[in-house]
Amino acid sequence: MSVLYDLAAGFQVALTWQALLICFGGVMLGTFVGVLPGIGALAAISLCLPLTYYMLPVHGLILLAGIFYGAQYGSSTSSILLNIPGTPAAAATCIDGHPMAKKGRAGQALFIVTLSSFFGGCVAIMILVAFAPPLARFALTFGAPEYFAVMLLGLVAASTASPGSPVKGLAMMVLGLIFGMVGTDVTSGAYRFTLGYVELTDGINLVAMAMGLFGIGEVLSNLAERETPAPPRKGFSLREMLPTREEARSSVMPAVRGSLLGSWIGALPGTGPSIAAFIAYATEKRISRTPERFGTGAVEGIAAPEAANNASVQAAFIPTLCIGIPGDAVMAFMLGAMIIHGIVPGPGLITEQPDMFWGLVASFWVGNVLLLLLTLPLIGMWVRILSIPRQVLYPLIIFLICVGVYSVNSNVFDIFVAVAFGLVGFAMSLFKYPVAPVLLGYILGPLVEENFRRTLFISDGDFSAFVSSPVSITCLVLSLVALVLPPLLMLRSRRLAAARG
Amino acid sequence: MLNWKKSLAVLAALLPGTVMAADFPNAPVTLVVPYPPGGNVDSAARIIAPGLEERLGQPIVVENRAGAGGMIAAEYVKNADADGYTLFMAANGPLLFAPMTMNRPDAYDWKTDFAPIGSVSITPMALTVRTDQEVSTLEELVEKSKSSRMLLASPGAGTTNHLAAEKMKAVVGADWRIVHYKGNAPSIASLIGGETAFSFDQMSVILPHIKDGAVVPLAVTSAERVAALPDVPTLRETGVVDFTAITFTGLLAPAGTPDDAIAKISEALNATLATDEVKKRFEDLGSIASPKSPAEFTDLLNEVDETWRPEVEAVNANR
Amino acid sequence: MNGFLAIGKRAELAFAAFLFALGAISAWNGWAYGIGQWNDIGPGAFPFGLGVVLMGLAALAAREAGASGSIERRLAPAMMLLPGIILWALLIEPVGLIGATLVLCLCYSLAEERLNLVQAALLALALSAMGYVVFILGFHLNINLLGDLL
Repeated sequence: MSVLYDLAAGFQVALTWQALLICFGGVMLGTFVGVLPGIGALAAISLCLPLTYYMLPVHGLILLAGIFYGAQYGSSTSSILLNIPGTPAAAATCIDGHPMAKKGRAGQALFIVTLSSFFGGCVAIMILVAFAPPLARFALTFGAPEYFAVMLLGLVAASTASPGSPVKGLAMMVLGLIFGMVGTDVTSGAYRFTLGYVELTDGINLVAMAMGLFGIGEVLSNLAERETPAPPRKGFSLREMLPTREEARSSVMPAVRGSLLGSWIGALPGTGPSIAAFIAYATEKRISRTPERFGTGAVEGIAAPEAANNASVQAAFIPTLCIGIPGDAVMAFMLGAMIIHGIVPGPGLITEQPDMFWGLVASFWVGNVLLLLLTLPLIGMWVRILSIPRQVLYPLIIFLICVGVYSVNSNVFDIFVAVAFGLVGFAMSLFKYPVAPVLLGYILGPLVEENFRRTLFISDGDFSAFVSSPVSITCLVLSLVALVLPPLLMLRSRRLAAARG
Repeated sequence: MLNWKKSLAVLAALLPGTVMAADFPNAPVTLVVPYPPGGNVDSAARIIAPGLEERLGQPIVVENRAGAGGMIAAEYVKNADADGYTLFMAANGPLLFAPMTMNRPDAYDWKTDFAPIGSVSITPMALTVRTDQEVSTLEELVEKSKSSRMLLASPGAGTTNHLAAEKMKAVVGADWRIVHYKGNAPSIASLIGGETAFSFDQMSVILPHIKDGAVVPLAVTSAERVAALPDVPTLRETGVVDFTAITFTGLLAPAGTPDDAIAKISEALNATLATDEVKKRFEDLGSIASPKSPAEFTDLLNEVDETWRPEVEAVNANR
Repeated sequence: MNGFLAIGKRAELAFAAFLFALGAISAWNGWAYGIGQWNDIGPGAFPFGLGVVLMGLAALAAREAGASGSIERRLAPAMMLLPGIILWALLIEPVGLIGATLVLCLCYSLAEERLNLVQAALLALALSAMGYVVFILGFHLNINLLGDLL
């Protein structure tokens, strides 16, 4: 019960009018930068950091956190409407979101992702409230073999998640894995595939790569086509955008699974919303009875990743606040912001700064409700983007991508990288190679490699280290099943067909 | 009626070539940070920015130009106009060692391409060991590590943390296995979580875990003891090894910047660093505000350079 | 400008060959980076292994080439838009947002029959104005309207 008492005290902090106003401003700004392709939460958060000097520390954190999770709501909008993820975390949403928009169901898709995001956020916040400290401690017991097993499972599960030819999907994932090796090898410090460019020693810039493959590639392939039929235009009233009962029903369980997966992956240090979204998408396709619908506009394929990425950004506060270990770059920045305010996150934070902790957690809830109220009425406006004539829309998109990619490091080199990937993405779309697995391989590859090598380094070459804990055994067995089962099933059904024929 | 004098003044201000050093500064001053927002160096720049703004009477812009171990920012500042409006917020690696580790030794040389203004902060490290290792002094750690295979967590090959570990390993002659992670966060997670046993970490990130009792501090790497841990000896005091290992942040201008501009910034910087508020902020970060004259800062740079250049060369995987 | 090209099996084989070459480069370099041994795997092991796998998959994918028949695409727009982006990148620092965006939009208009040069210039001005308000005033991004011209 003391949790409820603490939470009530938290709401007293989060529901003051200043906090409400700040939270509103944060989530608005977050949604906005999320929608813009290429501009991510980090740009807006670093912009707002100096503003927070003049606020109470808890208000400052409410603002910065609001931008962070607000961006997750916004980023799926451009995935669905334009097939260009607003941030890399929404790349998985493109796979089924854009086909829905093409069928004239953009409004429904936006409706579902908004509700799924809200649901994912709520689940993660509840987990944060109830289990933050023990969960943080459990996440710490994850060593190299566990990370390896979990990431491998993600990779294997997702390996056939893309629509179309499995061989092409696998080839693209391996290509992504190789792109992930570019830069400085963590284990040895050696440079790989840097081609003599110092800019590449930090690896290929994720935003540049995602915007090239998805954004520039998409615009190029649309320009190259004959007149494409415009998506059917419908009325833009809220009523006409409500999902059908069928759509609503089939997005419930994916949202539940996505939220739980996202909460767990978010709580692990070193992972992030992109991984959560991809793994949730792959899981849905794996367990679906009709996996062939994925890639053609299946609602499960948007509900799960969006619930997962929003859950993961809320859960990412667990390791940051409870043990002072940030999960990704944005969280590292949040940690820096807290320290500048004289708040040192760590094991003692909840007891030493209860107002801070619970106020922030309560504000997450407030922020998610605000986002829901804010986003639903705006859906009609976003859908109108589709009726912008292409001679205005495409230059606008390319302009936003240029500014966004440049702004990450103030380095024009990243724009050249984006152009190169745009060309590759264009070729891929011509020959029906799926784009999403490249990004997935790029994101998961370094984690798989690093933890595989680290496991053997620590165990001095002893392979039994991989099966030394229940978590790693479970994940490895599941990976094996996921690898072996589909070909076996196919073989069996062929034999059955042969026997019958 | 147009105020022609005023218009001329505005025009003059717009043309960089006509800016008179005596008027310095009459335009915003940019601090170029070689890392993305959020880290130690970025925080240091953002902490001093308001104070500099107040004392120089011009806006201070913090600009992140991350990448290539800090080389991109360093080259950007090196090639900027030497007028005092573009300054490098430097740290150990980006300023001193990046050209060597990036295999581009002629990219820049801090001695000839930059004009030191002053250090901003000094961050000591602590050598800590996880509590369940039942080690309470450096001697015990060395003993234990000689009889069993111990793992040391490092936040990356070539970091000051890694270099300190390599240097100490060579002196005590133990077979430490150094495990590299991608940054401080996973490295500390491995230490606390039990995957590795001990590590060198920046005071800012390890202090909460020392307070929590998860790790035991054996020594600090600065020349003097650290206020937050008054009972913990320095490395030198332990008598086991004889070196200091700190990370610094400091401001430098491109070489050729007029002396009076440097003097003005130096004065504003040192006054800023002397205020209690700024001192407190650095203390919260686990660092020490460290006002120095340009000459003193140059001495510090020389010392760090001489101590660590051979180590950096030895661990460089890209020769 | 409106030349449509038939893109068929041969082009797809070329792309598979490109992937095969990337795999070969990865494997070759991986070998050079060092494979290491089990208790200390070198930086080259994964690039080597992945390179070999990619070569195999590219060969398999090549067998699927031409399966979906030939498609008609015009490549001119791509060829005009990419230089536009590259020029934007080259111009953003020395010339600034307005100039770079103007060049970008003019390049785009060469590829787009629905946008003449005057409209493209107006669009560039509108985008720059929006960029100024949102990114320079709003987000304080490190971009100037007129770059180093000032």
